Amino acid sequence: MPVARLAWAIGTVWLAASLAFLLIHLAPGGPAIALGGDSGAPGYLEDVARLYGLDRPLPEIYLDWLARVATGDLGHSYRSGQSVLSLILERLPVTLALVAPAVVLSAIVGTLLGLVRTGRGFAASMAALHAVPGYLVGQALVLVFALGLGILPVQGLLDGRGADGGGIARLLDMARHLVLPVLALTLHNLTFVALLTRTRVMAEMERPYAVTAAAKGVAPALVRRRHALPNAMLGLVSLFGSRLGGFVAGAVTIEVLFALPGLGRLAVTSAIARDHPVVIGLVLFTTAIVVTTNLVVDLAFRRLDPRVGEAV
Amino acid sequence: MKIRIFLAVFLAGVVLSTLSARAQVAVVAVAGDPGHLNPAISTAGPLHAVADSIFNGLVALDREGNAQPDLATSWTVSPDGREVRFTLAPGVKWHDGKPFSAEDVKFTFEEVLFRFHARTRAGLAPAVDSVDAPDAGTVVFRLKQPHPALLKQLNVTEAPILPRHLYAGSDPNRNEANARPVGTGAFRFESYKRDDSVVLVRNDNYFKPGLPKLERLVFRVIPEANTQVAALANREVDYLGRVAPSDVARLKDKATLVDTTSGPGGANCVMTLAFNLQRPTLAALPVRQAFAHALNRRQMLELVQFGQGRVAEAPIHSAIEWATLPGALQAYDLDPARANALLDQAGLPRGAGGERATLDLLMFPAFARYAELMRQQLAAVGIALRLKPLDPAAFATSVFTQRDFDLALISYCNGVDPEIGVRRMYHSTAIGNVPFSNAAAYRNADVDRLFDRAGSSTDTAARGEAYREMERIVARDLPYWWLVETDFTSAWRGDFADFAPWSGQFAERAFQKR
Repeated sequence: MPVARLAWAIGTVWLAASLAFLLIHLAPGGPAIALGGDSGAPGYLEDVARLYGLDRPLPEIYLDWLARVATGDLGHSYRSGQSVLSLILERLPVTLALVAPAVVLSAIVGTLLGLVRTGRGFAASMAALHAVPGYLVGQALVLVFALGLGILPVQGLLDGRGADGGGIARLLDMARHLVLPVLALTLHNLTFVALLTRTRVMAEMERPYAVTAAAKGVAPALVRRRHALPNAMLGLVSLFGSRLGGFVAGAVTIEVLFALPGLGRLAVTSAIARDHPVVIGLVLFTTAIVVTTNLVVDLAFRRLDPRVGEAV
Repeated sequence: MKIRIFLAVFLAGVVLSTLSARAQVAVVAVAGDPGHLNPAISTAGPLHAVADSIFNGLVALDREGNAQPDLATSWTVSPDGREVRFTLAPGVKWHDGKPFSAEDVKFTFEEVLFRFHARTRAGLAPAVDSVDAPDAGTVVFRLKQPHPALLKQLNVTEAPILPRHLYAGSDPNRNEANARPVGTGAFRFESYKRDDSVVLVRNDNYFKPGLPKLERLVFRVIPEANTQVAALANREVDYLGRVAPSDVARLKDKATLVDTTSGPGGANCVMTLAFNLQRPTLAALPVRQAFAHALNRRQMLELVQFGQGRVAEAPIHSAIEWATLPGALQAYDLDPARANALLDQAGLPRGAGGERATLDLLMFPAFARYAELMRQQLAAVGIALRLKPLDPAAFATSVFTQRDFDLALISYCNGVDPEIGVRRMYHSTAIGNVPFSNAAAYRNADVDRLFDRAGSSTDTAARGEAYREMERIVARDLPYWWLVETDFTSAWRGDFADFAPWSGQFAERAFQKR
């Protein structure tokens, strides 16, 4: 069983990376414009194609790539010459620093909101807020907290004028810079969690055990918290898990808006520059992570809830 | 007594802290990540915005586009115009301490610029026979024929000089110095974090006495224009190299200085509509004339450029005064009725829905507002546009490699001499797989001859006459329709002075006011 699961996982990663390979190679235009600038000289495009081996037939490039990836070599960026893996690992902490607090905040605050506020008006306002793109939320935050109140920076991870000091001061500066982006990413997602919690908990409240508890005279709030929520939790966790990809996707626009040097920015810059190895490497890396987490979550669920193991 | 000591210490502390707070640091916003920092193998804008401050050219260009000393202190042109001799500044050192010499110049031109810098490879290399270094302080350009544009192609943007001792015998595209550049320029490289920042520090041994004045020059990569403006207002950034026309008015209100130039390196850009002359519909002259009568360029200037520029009056940018032909496009006044008549005459009658034809317009997403306006204006005369925004790589392939387009919106930058940026638009040898060359695929033997004559004469009056004759012809043939001369607007916080936004070395003289 685990072997089949593993083979399935590897197959998924291979498929995703191969699709990315095809897409980026078939997209019109090569890396020449990003590398050499947009004024041309005769023969320039051909020279660049030759330089990176892109003048060969696609199947040959693909097999070459596959052979290298099989040995764990993701290649080097056309633009910087840096190894793709080091490029990704360099950026990962920034994206994690943005996404992790947003995930935790929206999970906790969203669940609490959904539990406490059950009115219809609340649901409608959450739904409306959820419809606003994270990008606009970010712009609004910039207007209020940065331009209006002048208390928070609007871009980057560190103060441009600051010396390259280390330690606590640097961490605090980073935290200050992350407040608005994290808020922007959180607000967009916490509305989703709040709505989901509300619906799930309300559904649980109709179940016989909750009705019984209410009939015994337990206060409704207590029924929701002590009885309905734990039962709703299992479904919530798995749904929230499937939502994690949405956080990463949302991080792309937030990273661009707030000029944060994370994985999302790397993906955007590399796609525009047709930096093929980086784009494919990013897809491979993220797919591998998603597939691995799914694998781990599956196994964890099996431990938590024996019924899952039987169903598989 | 104790109080006095305390006061003295306190005052000293205050003075010291204000002094250190006033360290001369300028934070500059750039829209794109430079990728690497070797300006000799690329013409990409974001790269030059950063790297030009690390290097020097043989000459610098002043605001009017005239050559001023940079690495070369003086130069003489031989009577036949085929030999130009440069005397180099003495005592120049690379940032790593090695002495700079004429060998570096010879090497950079022959081995790097003439092979990998697209504009210099296309615009200068064919005219040069050899670059010689008779002694350490002299460089001699021997030319195949007189090349009057030479001096304007030797600034840091067109021809930055690299250290031979780091590049000789290597592939310049993969040299490690591209990521840790060593130049002769006003600022030394300190650090580069991709998609984030580049930090340069003052070159204390700069060969120009008293310069630079800034201690640190920090470039922050901020892709969103809105965020750039917010960062300037929020005092996180001091200098914006390029401000969107729609933001200029709102910046002028703040404590900001705004300067309008024709662009770094004398870009002189003209927003241009290219007709694909290989498409039958557009090969018909009356159709192109109809476009010229139907498009409201004043509206483009006002609604898209917010007045930052001028309606084009000639095929060559008006800043190149000796070559431009004002009034060349006068015949094409805004006249939709005439446009309709021309389209009828061209055999494009209105169909059932009032449409005569549907055409594809390709453009960069950044030019979408122009395209949208053109769609509205052309709809009035029965031409429907399908807008196809493409990123630069896809755009270049579709237009110049596959030639799969009807209309393309292109910002053609003329440079400070028509040899740099105008010739490529019209000369028949510039048709083909070359980005941002002759998009129309226009061929006219007379025009070719005029460019060849203007390009090899040293007599400015004669050159001007040849270019103006060329303009008369292309204004008649209309391979393009010249829309708007677009100005570049830069902005910086009011406590800074002496930025030079027209130059790649924009911060060489800048300082923060005490």
